Amino acid sequence: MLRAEQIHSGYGRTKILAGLSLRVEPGEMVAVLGRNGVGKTTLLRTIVGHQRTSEGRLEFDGREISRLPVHARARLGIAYVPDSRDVFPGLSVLDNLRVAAYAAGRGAKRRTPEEMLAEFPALAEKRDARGGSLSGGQQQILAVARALIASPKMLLLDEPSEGVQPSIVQEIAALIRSANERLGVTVVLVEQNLDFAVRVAPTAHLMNRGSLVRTLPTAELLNDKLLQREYLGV
Amino acid sequence: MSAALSLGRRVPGEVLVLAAIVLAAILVSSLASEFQANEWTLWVLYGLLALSFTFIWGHGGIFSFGQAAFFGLGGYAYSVAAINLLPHTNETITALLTGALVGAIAAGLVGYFIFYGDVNDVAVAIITLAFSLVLLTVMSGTADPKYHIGTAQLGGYNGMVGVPPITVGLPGGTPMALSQQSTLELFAIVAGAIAVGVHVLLRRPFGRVVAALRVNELRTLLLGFDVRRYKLATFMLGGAIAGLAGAGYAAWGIFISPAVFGLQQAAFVAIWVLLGGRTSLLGAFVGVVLVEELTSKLGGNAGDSTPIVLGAVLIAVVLLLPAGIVPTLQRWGRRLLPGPRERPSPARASERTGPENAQAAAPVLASEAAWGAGGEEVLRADELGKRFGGVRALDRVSVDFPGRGLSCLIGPNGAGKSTFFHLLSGRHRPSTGEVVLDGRRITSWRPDRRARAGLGIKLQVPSLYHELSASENMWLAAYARTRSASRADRRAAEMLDWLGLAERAADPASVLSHGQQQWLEIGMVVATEPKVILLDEPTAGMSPEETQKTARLVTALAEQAAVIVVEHDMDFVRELDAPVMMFHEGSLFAHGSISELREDERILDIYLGRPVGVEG
Repeated sequence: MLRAEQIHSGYGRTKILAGLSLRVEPGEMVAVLGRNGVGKTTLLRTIVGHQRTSEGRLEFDGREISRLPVHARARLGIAYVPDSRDVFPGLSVLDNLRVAAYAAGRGAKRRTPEEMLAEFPALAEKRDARGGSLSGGQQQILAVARALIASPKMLLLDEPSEGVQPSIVQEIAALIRSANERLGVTVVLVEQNLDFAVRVAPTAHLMNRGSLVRTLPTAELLNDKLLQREYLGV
Repeated sequence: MSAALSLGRRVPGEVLVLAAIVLAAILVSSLASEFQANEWTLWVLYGLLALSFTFIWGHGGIFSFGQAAFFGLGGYAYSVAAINLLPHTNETITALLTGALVGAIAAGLVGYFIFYGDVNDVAVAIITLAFSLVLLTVMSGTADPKYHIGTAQLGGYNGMVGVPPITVGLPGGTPMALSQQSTLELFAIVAGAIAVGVHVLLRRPFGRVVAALRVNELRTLLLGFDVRRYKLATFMLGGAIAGLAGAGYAAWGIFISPAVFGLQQAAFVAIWVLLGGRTSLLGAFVGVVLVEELTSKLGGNAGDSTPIVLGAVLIAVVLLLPAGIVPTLQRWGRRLLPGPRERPSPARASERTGPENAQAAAPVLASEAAWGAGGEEVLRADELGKRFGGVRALDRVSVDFPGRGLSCLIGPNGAGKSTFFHLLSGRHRPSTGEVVLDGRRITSWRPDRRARAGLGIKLQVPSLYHELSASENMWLAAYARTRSASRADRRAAEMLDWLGLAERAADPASVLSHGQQQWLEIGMVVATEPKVILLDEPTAGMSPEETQKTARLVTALAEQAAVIVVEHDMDFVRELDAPVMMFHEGSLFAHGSISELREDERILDIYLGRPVGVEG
């Protein structure tokens, strides 16, 4: 589904990704874990196209995409939920979904806002509430639903658990898993919250200094305090 | 024109240029007919007005529509002074200088509120334009005879009539009004002298600082320059030049009316400079001549379409020659005649250079014997707290930092360490508590004052003067401390040497590698000889090798000053092996060595996103 080969990316002369390689198979769910500042967000932004790669190959669905603009990548089926969530604060929940549905065009796979509300009961309750009035967790759920409305092939999530109360964190994990099971959407999750990552993704990639340093089952990482300290703690 | 800023070069050619201008002025004005002399005098005066705008905008980065207002005020000041003084002094040169003085004072008043009120750039343009339009309205309303200053009637929208031309003479002697040719001669020489003077000024330390704050105001502020004062001085000088031009304009036309405060005049100043080239002093005059020639040619045939044609020309120039006409011609000229100036090739840029010998050479840092404050506490945070809206980002944190040595601040996202850092640096004002530097409360000080008091700040993103060379960058930092051009020259060379960047001295900062940029900026902070150095993620984006070099550099600095580093990169923190303070949820959660913190299960849990009580 996604293949990154030795990609480099950064801001000006500041390199953030330094020769990162990552393969994600169709339908797979992976977590990219690492401390602040190792380049996790930049990785997602580079896949989406907000950041240019200066070197390396980036393939999606067998197609080189590193020179495609953001909207073209979105049409190929890459959906991105940034850590800021970017829910339109002045629009209702329903209108937030409608905007996304409109942007997704008239493709056969496009789903309707009503379908999404049926699938996400937490949102149905709040359908007329303004986006800005939702709690952090509810905004996160809305952002995920909005990303799924175009039936993407791959969903990129940047720290969906951050600033969300523990009960809703579990709900979000369940939503992501069910989207993967029922729709077959591939998931790349960037996280610092290990427990959340374990609940969602079977595979963990550890990231440090702009590249991936280890790949292992998340359950194994959960028991390896040494690795946790090395790459996630102090 | 970064090349024009090269260090330590005195161009004796400027005297020659001035002499040439004087000769040309005498020659041209003696050959010119009265009509031509009259027209050319106007061009020279408009050129001077344009020059004042080139100076404050092209070089000082202040986009102001106020130049026309200062021009008009200068004109009115000349008129009032000349009408009142001429019968007594038999000359109007005093009135001419009064025009310049009034321009400077008006610019000083407007500038004080703009710069000391921290008004943003767009608002500066709007406020200055409004200032000009207010003057238009006010001066238009002075038609009643009761509005007079001495014997001078202000005349309202009709303007002031009977303004004396340029007159020379001695008190008690006979006044002699200058002929058209002599007036042209006088103003051409004055304009030439001012242009040469501005050219020289821009190469003096003052001009370099002004150029620096245009390129990167934040860095300039953090080096300890009072950017408000520099901007105000620039603005006042621009006001004086515009005022002088306006005074000349009133003398030239023996008339002044509120039309000079109008929108059209304000817009023309910007148009002249955009056409001529906004960094080129010569361009100011070229822009005026082009626009005036075009207008007078069109005036005969095209009539009403003049503004359309002018607008089209302006758009074409901005799109096709964004640098303006004169700088573009200069560039073409240089390409045709390859001179001795060679551009440093990035190919030469070896990535190896860096602070190899940082530890060995550390004593070189201090130009005086004692630099840091020693073992005593130098920086104290006292119950420091900050709220953003309803969010408590930092909750009454108290920390002492000793005069020498290293401290690392760590913590997960949102822990409050960046807030703490920015309360120390002065970017944020605390909601509670005090910051004490060297026994002085600096809580409400601006960053530049903190810098002068000994707080050196390096923000996360490299903040350099990208178009200036490495040595010019370093010179500015050294000058902030030494206030002496020659000592700053020496110090800059020493510092670059120490950083291992000597061979890159002439290269623009923008072509340095990321690591070299970070080292250069750290070096610039050091060149200001701070007692405390704040570093925000100095190794972000660095290779492991560069990170190690940075660790050596930082360790060497900590022998002479207090160094406080905010970091995410634990490899770097381990390498530094210094006391660590860990923030969590706005409080200081733990402190100790990195290996001690490593043993703490709660800290691991915090980093993994698990809820942990703050107490303990």
